[in-house]
Amino acid sequence: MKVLIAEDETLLLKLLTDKFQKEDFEVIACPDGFSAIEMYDKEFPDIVITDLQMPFSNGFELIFHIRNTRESSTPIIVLSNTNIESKIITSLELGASDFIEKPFRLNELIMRVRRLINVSLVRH
Amino acid sequence: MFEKSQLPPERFLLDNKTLDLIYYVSFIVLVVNALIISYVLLKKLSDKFQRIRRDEVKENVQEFLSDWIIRFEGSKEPKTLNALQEFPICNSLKKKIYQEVLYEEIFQFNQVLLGFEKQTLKDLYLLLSFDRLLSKKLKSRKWYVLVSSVNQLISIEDHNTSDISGLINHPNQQVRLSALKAKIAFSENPFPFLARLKYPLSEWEIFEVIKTIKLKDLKNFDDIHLLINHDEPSLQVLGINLARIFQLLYLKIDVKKLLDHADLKVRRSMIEFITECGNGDHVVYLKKIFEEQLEPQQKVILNYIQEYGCDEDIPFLEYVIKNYNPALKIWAIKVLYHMNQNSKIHFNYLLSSDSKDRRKITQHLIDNQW
Repeated sequence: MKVLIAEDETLLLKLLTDKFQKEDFEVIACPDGFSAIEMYDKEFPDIVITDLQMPFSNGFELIFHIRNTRESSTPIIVLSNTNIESKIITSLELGASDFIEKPFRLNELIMRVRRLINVSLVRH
Repeated sequence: MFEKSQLPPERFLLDNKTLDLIYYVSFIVLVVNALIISYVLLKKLSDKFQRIRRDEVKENVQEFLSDWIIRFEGSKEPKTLNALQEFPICNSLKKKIYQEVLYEEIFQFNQVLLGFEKQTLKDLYLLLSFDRLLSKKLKSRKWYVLVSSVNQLISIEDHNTSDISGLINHPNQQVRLSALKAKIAFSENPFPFLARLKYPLSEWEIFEVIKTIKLKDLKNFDDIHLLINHDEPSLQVLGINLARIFQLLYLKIDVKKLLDHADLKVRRSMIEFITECGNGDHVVYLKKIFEEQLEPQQKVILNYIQEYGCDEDIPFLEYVIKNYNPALKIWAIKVLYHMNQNSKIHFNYLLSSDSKDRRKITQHLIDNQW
């Protein structure tokens, strides 16, 4: 399974990469939104985990790209430290499948990723 | 070479001594400038190298932190210094720059993680004796160091490192507030110590204290009466607001005493409390004291009447509409509209009222769909 992680906090990106690799995922780690969009087009991951605030292109642009430009139903989990209601709603309206607020538990994230991948596999 | 007429007049010609002096001064200025420029360039270069070095260290430390969390994931193995020696970074951790960066990164990482990962970070923090470093910082004379250290203490949930009671009475308000929040965060029952505070709380401090208490998920509010019956009005306001927010309906509060309190903020909090948590017993009394209150309290009383009022209160509302300022008029008209069916009929009369002002306000309220 391929997971694309877009996160500008290098420490968190490193931890998520290590954790998902340990869980036998193939990880595409992107430190900003622009490279995430590029890598998405190139690699077609099974699931995307994205922060909202990132340099160059933000998480909203990435979600918009996946849902509208690529018209893809790849599950997207937003992992953000915002608790502003409008931002959460906007990300879900744009097509995010789930929203996890930081601080978070790694194992909970893994569980949600597995669940979304399973749902997506059943649908297709 | 020059015609005599082209030379400057003799009084402008400098003697050799003066010219030498000018040369010397110019030379010294040039040398000093060159030194300053060299110093600035060297400083910039050294800063750049330091930044590069720090970035390298940061990268190593981040790698180590990630490995540390993954290494102990799902294991009950104790996190000891021996376990630390398995990591290649172990020897470098004796260097000051590594310790500084690791200290910063632990606190930064701590903000985004929960549960097991957060605990693993805390174990590392204790293993490397960063608690002692934090204790030292908590004795600093600089207020901003104190504030950041207390915040770090809260973030790492370190209850034992240092007694921060001394900081509760610190002359700097920011330090006092951070210490207060830490004390609340670490306390099972924060009310007795809040009741012992030796200074009044500002509105901002009350807001922050309430926010911290909300995060705690407190179950025992038995000692809140220590605040509500306190001599200090700001602590009474805190107590009453907490009682309202947590809907402590069972509290036995001397409502009349607090509604007659000399401090208007206590009165206002009390009116808000009985509006949200009380019953309709106080309508008559509140109408009686309406005149003596300031506008914010009067608005809250009108809200109370909207909630618990009956037909008997319609004349009172009409009196407010006739005799008070426009802001209260608007408020009273809203109450009239929302209170009950009969009051709504009176509201409709306002549209055909003799007073042009009242007609205008009523129409304005209808147009704005409140």
